Amino acid sequence: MHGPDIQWYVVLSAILFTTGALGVMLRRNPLIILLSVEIMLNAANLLLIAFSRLHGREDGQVFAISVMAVAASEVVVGLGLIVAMGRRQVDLDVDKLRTLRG
Amino acid sequence: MLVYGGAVMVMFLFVIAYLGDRTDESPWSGGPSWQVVGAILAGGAILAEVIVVVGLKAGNLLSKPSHIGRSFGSPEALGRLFLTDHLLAFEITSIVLLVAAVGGVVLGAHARNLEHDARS
Repeated sequence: MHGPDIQWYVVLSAILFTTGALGVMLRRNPLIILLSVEIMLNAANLLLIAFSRLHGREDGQVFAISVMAVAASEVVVGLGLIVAMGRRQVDLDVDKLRTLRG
Repeated sequence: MLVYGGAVMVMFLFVIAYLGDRTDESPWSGGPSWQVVGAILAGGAILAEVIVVVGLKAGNLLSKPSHIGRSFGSPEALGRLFLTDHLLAFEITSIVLLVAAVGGVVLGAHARNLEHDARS
């Protein structure tokens, strides 16, 4: 079974990573920023798995699963924070959230 | 994997529910323009750098033929790697997940207390 060459995976991963980075830099809603961070993490995961297949070793897949676990815990904490902000009627805009003490 | 799927699905639902009826928030509505220009420059730089590196420099290194057996990436092989070579990463991941779960519960309880205080 032969998939596409590794170059296409690298290019797709670069496009995904750029999308995520632009989302983090341009959008001001913390929910969208969290989604963009997920897109960047998944771009890294795609590369890990593609190179793991290129070299014929499974270590990259193990690392990708670890990255997924870390991403899941990040989503848990980030969503908890955003829900807490929403319940306090704080405006969800990262440019207006300048101080730590709410 | 299941945990990740659940968390990301919840977040997607959240975003859709939150942004569903608001179409006025465009990415570049207002905001300082130098920020937008810088962001687009930085994003284009990342993309161009990766494509140039892949296209020019790593041409021959990336076409290595790989010998992949039928059991490559099977759950059995991955589980054996997890429990032998990467045991420390496995245990640390479990602790990170546990701490995140506790943190989520604490944050939720804290938010509920705040809401209760505000109402009374």
